[in-house]
Amino acid sequence: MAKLWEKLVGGKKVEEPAATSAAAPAASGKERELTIEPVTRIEGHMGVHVKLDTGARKISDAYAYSPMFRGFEIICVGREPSEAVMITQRCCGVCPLPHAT
Amino acid sequence: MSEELNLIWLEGQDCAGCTISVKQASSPTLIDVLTGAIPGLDGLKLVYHPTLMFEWGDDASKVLVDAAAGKYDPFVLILEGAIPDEAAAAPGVFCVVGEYQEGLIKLSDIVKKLADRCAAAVAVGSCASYGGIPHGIPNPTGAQGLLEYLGREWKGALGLPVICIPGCPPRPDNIIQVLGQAVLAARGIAPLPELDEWHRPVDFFGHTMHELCPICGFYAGGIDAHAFGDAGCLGALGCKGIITNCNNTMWADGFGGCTGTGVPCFGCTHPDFPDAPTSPFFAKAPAMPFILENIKGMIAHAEMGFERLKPVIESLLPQLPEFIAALDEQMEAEKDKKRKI
Repeated sequence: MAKLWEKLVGGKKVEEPAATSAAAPAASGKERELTIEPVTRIEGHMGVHVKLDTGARKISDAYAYSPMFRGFEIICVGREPSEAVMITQRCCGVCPLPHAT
Repeated sequence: MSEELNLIWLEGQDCAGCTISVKQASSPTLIDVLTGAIPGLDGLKLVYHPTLMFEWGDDASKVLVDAAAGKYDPFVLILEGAIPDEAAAAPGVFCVVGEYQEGLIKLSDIVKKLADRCAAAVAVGSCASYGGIPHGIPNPTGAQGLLEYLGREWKGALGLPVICIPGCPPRPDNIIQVLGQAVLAARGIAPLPELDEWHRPVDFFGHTMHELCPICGFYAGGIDAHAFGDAGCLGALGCKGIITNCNNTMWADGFGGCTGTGVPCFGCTHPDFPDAPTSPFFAKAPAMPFILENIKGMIAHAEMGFERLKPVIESLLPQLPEFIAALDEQMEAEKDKKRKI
């Protein structure tokens, strides 16, 4: 956790944010962008992009995205409905069953 | 202690199903292999695997960049998932495996770079082998398997072509045993795996699902299932076992399996999966292989019947002239009798 925090604020040692700090977001204009890609130990491809305001200690913007496309909807077009059950299960090999229903 | 060998497992247009499958392997288990409990398979290190590795973000991407620069030589490249045609995605991308110093690492680029250095390349699953599900008509992303992407002529540093382990997913033991054989071959302990025209190991994919089916006796006996749950041959429910090469073993540690548990084969190891002839999945398989099999079967059974009769005929054959002579004699005697009258 400490390592992650260090990474987020760029190696600077910062005290744990106090409960009152959220009430006083003194905007400093110091921006830092952080990208985590790939996010491992999950199924599939995932990236997280975060914009941090290090002065106010706030996240100003955040995106999570998947940089992989296969086009299941397009592949299923024109096939028998029974085939869709088998094909959509392959969306995720960790949890195939929810995708079959 | 054997020489250290790194494993780099890349995930392309995949679903991690092959990873989940290999984690269920029972002889040997993945833990046995990675901890070096199997003689000859020690010294293996899984340096990159997006679903299992600890590093993330830049640290994970750095492994790939370093591997392309030669830090992890010698290594075996393992691919799971298909490789899309990035040219069709411009200005976007179809598959990115990481980001390093603000630069995207595209799967198609990194595979090409790693393929130049790797000792051997193994495609795990139908997607990585021949394109699989992402390759299904109309193939929206231009997905290709490793075999097509690197070409059939491609050879790794060991002189081995791409080894394919098709299946959706392949059976756990198939994956680990083929990978294990590839590693043993790399160390000169086991012979190189013999590959067929589709680069599948013949030991594992030399027979059709139908030939090795645990309930094939139902087919021979003419007992057919016409609804799911019926006991009988699953041919009428759309089993594609007759056109699919697969070893049809049990799934994990002797449990599960496809036709053995009453599920028709839908041809996941077929190079054309999921298109014709395996599609539609629940339509009957092409009739020709059945007709040819029946003709072949009838000839073989007739031959076998003849084999059984052969000793009887052979034992009677020497007595034939004697028998004919005796018959002649008898006929002559009959004629003589008539003349006398």
